[in-house]
Amino acid sequence: MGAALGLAFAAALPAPLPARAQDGVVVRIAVDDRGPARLQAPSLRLDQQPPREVPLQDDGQIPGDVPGDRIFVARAEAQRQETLTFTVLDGGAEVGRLVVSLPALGAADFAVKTTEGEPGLVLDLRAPAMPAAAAAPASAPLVVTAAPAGETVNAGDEGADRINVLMLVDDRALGRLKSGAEVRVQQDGVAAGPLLDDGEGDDATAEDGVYATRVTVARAQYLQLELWVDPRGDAASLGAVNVFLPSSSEAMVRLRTREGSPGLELVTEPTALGATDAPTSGPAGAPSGGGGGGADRFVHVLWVGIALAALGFGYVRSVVGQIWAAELRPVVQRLDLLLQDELARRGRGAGPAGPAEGGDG
Amino acid sequence: MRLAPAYLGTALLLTWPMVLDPAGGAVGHPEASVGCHVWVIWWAQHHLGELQTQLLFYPEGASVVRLYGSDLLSPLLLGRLPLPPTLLYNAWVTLLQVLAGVGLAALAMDRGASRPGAALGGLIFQTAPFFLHELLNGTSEILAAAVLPWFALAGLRALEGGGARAGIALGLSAGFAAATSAYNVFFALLVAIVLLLHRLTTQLGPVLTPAALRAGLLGGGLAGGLFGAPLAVLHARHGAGETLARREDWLRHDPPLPDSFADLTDFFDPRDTPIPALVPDPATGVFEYWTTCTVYVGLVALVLAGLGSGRAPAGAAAPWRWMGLVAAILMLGPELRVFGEAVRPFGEALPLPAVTVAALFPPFVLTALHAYRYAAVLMLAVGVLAAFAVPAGGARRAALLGAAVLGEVLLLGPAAWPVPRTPAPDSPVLRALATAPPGAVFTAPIEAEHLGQLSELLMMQTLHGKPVHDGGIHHRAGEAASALFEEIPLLGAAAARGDAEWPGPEASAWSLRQLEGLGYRYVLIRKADPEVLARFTELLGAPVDEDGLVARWDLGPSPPPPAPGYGAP
Repeated sequence: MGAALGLAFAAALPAPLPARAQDGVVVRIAVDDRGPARLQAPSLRLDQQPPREVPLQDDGQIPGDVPGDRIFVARAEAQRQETLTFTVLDGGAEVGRLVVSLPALGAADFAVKTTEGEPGLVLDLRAPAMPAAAAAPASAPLVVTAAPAGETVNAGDEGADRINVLMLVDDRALGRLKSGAEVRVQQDGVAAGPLLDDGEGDDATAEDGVYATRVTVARAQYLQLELWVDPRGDAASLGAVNVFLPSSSEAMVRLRTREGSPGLELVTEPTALGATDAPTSGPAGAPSGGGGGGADRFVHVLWVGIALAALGFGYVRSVVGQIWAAELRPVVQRLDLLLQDELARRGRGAGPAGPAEGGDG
Repeated sequence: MRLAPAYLGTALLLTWPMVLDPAGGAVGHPEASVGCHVWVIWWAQHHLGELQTQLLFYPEGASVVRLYGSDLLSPLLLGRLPLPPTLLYNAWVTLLQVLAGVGLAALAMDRGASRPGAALGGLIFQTAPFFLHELLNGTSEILAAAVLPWFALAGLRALEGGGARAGIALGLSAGFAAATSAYNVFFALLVAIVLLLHRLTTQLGPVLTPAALRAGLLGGGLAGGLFGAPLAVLHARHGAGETLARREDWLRHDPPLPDSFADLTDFFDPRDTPIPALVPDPATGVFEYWTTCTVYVGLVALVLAGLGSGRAPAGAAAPWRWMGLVAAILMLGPELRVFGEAVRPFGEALPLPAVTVAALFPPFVLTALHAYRYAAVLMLAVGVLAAFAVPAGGARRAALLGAAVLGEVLLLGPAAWPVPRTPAPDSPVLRALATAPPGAVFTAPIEAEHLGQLSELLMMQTLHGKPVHDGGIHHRAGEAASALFEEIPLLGAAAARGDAEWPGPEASAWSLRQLEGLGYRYVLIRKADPEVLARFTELLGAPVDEDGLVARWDLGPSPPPPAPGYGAP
């Protein structure tokens, strides 16, 4: 992993951390200072109310950090908002400031690097992914986080809390796999899936170098898959990958053998094949568009009502305005003229009239 | 039309310094999608009729309508002209700018504005920061909203019993609108609905008189028969249904795409809208999003619209006020945002009318993902209202105000000026490749859906003319078209966003054998990425040809064995 966490990344990926309360988000920020080497006593300030300052460490204390590699790491909890502004300080002086988007769920990682001169700090788009912050518990809490917030995934229905995962392993380029290879899943009680290339079942074509197997696992946010070449002979693990599972009853994941270590890579994240348990609404807090929920319907009725009321008001106003202009106003004007004439006539006969009796038309 | 030369001069100023070398590059940011539109013109010049083309995503090919079919008219019109595609693109966007100015001036005069006022209104519409930013983004189909004033003018004339002439004008303008941009269909619908509803609620006598109905039917028939039906059939056959289905999840982006809403403060914010916007991406952490845009109305334009709203003849301003309001509300997207944060009273999102419109009128979701683009309709309304601000005989005042509008847009506005351009590639290697034996070209690195690199790839293809392995947004091209990216490790690595993990020597050699088996004969590596260049030099030896832009290798019957040690962990 080399510079490991240091080189890390810029992802606002939902990292495999336990879900926090809705108003908090665990943020990891790695600051690569290897080039300019301008940081002496760096710290990180989260510019929220109230502001929080945490040290940026390069002492290996934070899991995954390599001490002394000039890649400083901080871990802090921030309020979950759409955006987060943070400032890197060095001995109290500002080095640079960035505004980043936060995901609605899960934790967020950001990799930045210092620059010479201005702006002092930029996002490091090419930094590799940060290592997982902590081993993820594969038990109950993740079952909930596997689905978007607020959605219970068929609690109490044991069958629905399991996912059947079809795994296809492409070994055409390297030809590493032989009979007896299998995929092991890091879940208690789940048997390894034998990889077959016999053209039967899920394997489309015999001996084409694409192997298939199926395992049924408990629903979780993610799953660790490990590829074993020959478990019965000289057992050898080619490597492991973590995959995120969809909220469905069936999923397919495509893997590929590769040179080097690990000898396995993910081609595509698991895609849902079966019925999806995901909610029909959008992410937490976002309005949904399908008009499905009662609140949504109420809002639609409200907006349509407002639009119709505006149109109705406009129409009534026009009707009144035009009746006034076409029919009432001429009559009022004629009455006014008559009144003026009458007042003038009386004025000529009996001296000046009082102003209170005059109309303004 | 006497104003056309003035608007042409303004267009040349807005696109400066394009006029100095109109064929040397296309107006627009080189990292945006300008090259894609230039490519469409080139495709129309040489391959018109091959709607499913193998030039892209070779060998599966992809539908040009699906990838770049929003504007179908410009390739049809320009594809017959034997001129450089960059020149034709520049001429097209300049023409649209002139059309915008002249159209709005004509509309404003027709609605009772003075001649100098109408000229000013046309200038405001033509120079709207929104359009200038779209010019920068290379989304020329949005500039085709230039036809909206013509459509509104024809529609109003038809409503007022303008007869067959108005009907024909309505049909042609509606057809032109639909053929130049799929967005225009929705913009025109909005304009028509607002104008019609305003007329229905304010005119006590019959609105849809027999004359108006005849004109409307004639216009509708013309637009539908000549343009609508062929376009509908074409789009239905080329993935319109899938696009609609895909965009139905417009509310599920988290965080929402930066252009699916306009912040309330954005209308008044003259600061630069940075492109690209960095949005979280599950694969790489951050994705560069290049289609963001400003919705800044312009301070001078806003003040003039306010003044004009008060000074307009009785009843003349109201429909445009409503139109502006409705467009602005739609631009706000699914929920209200102020100063960059969603406003959520009691912790709950308050769905705005855009959500209701999408629920009641599902095709709206086709545009909802880029809701800010309704700024085209807003600027139409602002332009007409501003035209009422200058009384008859106020030519000098209009000229001064016009200078203020132009000054604000060019010097203080959020769109870059002078406008950057996407250079036409000038490469001896690519020209030599054009005469080489047939075979597809693998070009790397081309990050998947990286508009700038995609644009460059397509611009390069306009020189060498050979099929390439990429060519558009992958999900638009379809699963079959992009399947090779999953099947062949080298293609997957070349398309990876961020830091690519290149396959080792064995897998690379296997990949090249597969490519060769599929009909690939050439490898082009962009010199801009020395790391990839070194990798391929190690893999394939010295290039057979190179210049400042690219290095070329030819794939032989079997690629050379991998160099020892390459790709070691």
